[in-house]
Amino acid sequence: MIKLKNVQKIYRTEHVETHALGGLSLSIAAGEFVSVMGPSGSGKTTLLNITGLLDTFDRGSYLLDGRDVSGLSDRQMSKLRNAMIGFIFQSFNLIPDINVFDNIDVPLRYRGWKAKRRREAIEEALGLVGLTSRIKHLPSQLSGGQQQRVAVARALAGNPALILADEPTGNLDSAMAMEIMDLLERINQLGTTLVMVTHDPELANRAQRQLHLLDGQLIDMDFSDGHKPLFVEEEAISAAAE
Amino acid sequence: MELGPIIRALMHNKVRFWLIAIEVALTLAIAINAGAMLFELRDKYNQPSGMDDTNLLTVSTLPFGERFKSDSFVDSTREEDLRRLRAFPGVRDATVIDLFPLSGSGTIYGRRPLGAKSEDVTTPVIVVGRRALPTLGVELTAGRSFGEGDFVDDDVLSEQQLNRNVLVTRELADELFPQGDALGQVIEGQNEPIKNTIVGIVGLMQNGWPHSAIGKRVMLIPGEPGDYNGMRYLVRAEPGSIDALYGQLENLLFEINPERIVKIQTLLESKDRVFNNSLLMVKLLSGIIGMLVVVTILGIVGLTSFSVAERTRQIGTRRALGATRADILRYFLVESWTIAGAGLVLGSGLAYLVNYALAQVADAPRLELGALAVVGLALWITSMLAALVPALRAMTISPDLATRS
Amino acid sequence: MLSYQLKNALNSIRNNPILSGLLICAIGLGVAMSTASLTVYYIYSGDPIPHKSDRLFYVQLDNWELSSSSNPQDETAPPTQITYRDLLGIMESDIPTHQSGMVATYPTVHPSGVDQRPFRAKTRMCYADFFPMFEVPFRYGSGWDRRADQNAEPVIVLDAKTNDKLFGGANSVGRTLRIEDREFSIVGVLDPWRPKPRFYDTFGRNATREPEGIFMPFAFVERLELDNMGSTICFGDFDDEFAAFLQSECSWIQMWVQLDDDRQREAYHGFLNAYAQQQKKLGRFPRPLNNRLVPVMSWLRDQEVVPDEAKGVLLISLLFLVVCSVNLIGILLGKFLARAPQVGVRRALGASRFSIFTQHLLECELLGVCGGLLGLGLSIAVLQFVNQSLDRGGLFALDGMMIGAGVVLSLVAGAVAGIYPAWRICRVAPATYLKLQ
Repeated sequence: MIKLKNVQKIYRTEHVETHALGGLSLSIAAGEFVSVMGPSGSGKTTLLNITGLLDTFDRGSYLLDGRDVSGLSDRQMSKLRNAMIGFIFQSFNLIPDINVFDNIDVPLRYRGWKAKRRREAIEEALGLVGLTSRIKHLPSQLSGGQQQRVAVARALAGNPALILADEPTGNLDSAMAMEIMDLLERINQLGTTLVMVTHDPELANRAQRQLHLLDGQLIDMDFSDGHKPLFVEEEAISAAAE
Repeated sequence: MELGPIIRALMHNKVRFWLIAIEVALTLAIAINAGAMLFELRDKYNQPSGMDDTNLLTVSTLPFGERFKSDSFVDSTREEDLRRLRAFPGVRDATVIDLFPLSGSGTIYGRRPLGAKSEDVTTPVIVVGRRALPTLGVELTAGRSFGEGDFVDDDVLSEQQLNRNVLVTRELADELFPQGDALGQVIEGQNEPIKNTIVGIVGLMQNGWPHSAIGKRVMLIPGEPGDYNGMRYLVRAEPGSIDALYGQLENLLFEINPERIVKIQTLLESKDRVFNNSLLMVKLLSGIIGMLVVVTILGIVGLTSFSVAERTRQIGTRRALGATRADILRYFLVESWTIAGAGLVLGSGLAYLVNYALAQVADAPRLELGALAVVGLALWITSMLAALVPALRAMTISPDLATRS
Repeated sequence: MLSYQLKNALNSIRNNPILSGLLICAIGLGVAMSTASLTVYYIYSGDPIPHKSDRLFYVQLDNWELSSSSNPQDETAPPTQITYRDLLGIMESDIPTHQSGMVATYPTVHPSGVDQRPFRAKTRMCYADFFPMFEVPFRYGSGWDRRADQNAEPVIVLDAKTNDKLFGGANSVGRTLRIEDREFSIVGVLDPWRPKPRFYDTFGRNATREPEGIFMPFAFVERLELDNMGSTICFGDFDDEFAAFLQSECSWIQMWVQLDDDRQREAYHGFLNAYAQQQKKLGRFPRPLNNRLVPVMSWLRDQEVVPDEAKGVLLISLLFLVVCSVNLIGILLGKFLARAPQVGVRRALGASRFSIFTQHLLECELLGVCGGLLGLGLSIAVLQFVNQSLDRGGLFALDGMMIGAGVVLSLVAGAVAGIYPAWRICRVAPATYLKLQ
């Protein structure tokens, strides 16, 4: 599903060059549930942005579902994002001015579906997250957990091949966090590839595979579940050891 | 399009909606009313005078020499003045006149059909000498012009059945004789011994009060006006020579007799003085409309920028969820299209309210639906263009904003 | 506290000079147009002689015939001016404290200087009482006395401008000036005098004109056979001679009287009615008694001295100021909310909602006042333009009252623009933005 090879991302300001990602390679198969961990500034968000086509990279290659995305125009990236990827954000990012239905509707509108098909998809997704009764509510009328469930429904409704979740439980209490995790696991079991960024080891453990990022590099921290990191750069290990 | 969600979103953010809508509404209401006043004044000013006004000079002479107190001296000077004026190079024709048209002053008589029981018709009169029609450049549409026989002294006239021949403008003719049979008819004034026979009809000519409702009523009376209190001549220049004459005629008249004060103006200068209030209004109103448009554009740019800034995260989220840049641009344009449209509906009502208020304090013209539509459309386009600036900025908001916290 | 808030507000204005400049300009334009048109309206509609305008009365006598009316707009109104015959008749009364008939004429002046050509001068023909009644200020000398009226003494009063023109501003009292064919001796020179509006003669948009340059005893109207420059309304027929005109039913003279209390006023009104009754016996005054004494302000209203245009532009200018203020709301909202994180910190550090609100409102009011000052400056230019366009010298000018009005307008504009944005920013929760730091 995702194949990153030697991807570099450099942020430049006038005086400083920051290597957010320093030649990172990574492969995630379709249907996998992968968690990404790492301290602040380790490049988690950059990795998520690049895999989610929210940002471009400077060097390397990225195949999404077998398609080379480097050199795609902004418009093509938007279309691809819309068709293939569902997002779940830490701060939910529901649009405050419109109700639950219209929020879930947003990506479907951009996909150009007919009204009837959109409504069916929205109702199905809302049913899955158990919020059918709140369809006319504004985000501000919902609890945090409910908001995030709406966000999950929004990510699901278009039936994307890949869901990217960025600290999906970061703003929730633990009971609600568990609810969301259960939901995500269920979605994964239905066949959707799931990549989740988190810094909670407990949540990360629920993934089939855990990736650890440090200073823009993947490091091998835990092989206990039998998976092997695909690429581990020696420099990264020595850097981590220091 | 996504009009539904846009409107529903607006309904949940009323301030964003109302501020711009009110702004557009107020602007429409003011611009349309100021515009209507402006155009009415301009139309009044631009009405054709019926005369060759671009080539006419008004020459006023105010004698101070004692000799001018004698009628015969006045007569001979008038004769000499006119002869020399007509012979002067660049002068096409000249006539003597009692008070100038388009000057803000004049004389009014009351006249009605002979023997009629009706009220007098307010009848502005201008006394003119020989060659008046070719000098004024007005068009005779019926009957005849003055002949030598029409210039009779009042004393002689009283023996000729007290009847003086006159020309009237079409407007006055129709007022006196709505049947349209004015030519040849006799009119009289209450308590006045002198009656008038209409011998000719002039198509169009404005009198001394072109800005008034009776501005196109003129009765031309043949005569030789002028005395110690002033003699006035109307001089028609050959095309292109009016500027030169402007400076030369004073000397010519001083050559004939220096014991007088001479004041020369073009007829259009005199018209501008009569209309100075209107012309000032036109300038002030154009200024206000101009500033209004600038301020409104600034306001819309400001408010839309604010509403874009307020929704930066939302825009990032939309981009992340698959909106293309064009989708974002379209979203903001449709939104401002909707708001401006609502503002225009509101503004149309407000325009009539302001019009009503204006009509209470001043003589405001009625609003025309066509003008409202044109100004409304122009304002709609303007507000869309103003919204374009921040909308283009919204377009550049990066999708990865959604993942920043 | 206030000075601290003021400092914050000033800082904020300085930190964004372009935006602040725009805001100030917008308010400035609105205030400029509003103040200018308010001034024009104020001068047209003002009380020209406030401390005695209720004691000065315009006299109207109804000598008009039955079969027509002198005023198409109001059939019941007496003629706006009086006839020469009636002037002479009612000037006999000794009831009014002051009384003067008057009319504008345009005689020829022959300066004695070699290089000065004769010219026509607008001249007010009036009685001795004109000067004390209207409290006309003198620089040199004084007006003439009532005896000069009776004996038709050749005396004149010059206004400051005419005295400057003819005598270089020197004290010309005692010198003579030839007008028409007679030598007049100068008895007084006025200080600059400009009643706003020129209430004593308002006909045909005269209300904004300057007073005449020369003042001459009314008796010389007859002696010099001077034509009236204002309006003349006649009924009936009369011969061509000047004497016949004077005896005609033509109304062309304005008559003003000063009546200091109700008793005096009633007495004089009784006198006018008695005069009319007596004229009825002579076959004149065919209409029912309709003689009026109109105080200054009512007279100015009757004469519709304030042009419709001035009212229209005033309304439109004030609406324009509203638009300017409303437009600023959005810009200020943007400006303030961009500062929300900083305000969050302030709130967390203990600033009350109220102090945040007042600080931001203060900032708007500061912008408003700056805009107001700019606007007052611009309004001087607008008024200058108005004066020039209407050829009215310095008539339309700001005074203390109008400067105050401009400042008030700018404060109101600042408040209209600022209250909502200031309210929005003061409701920023202290915590929301701290997390971002």
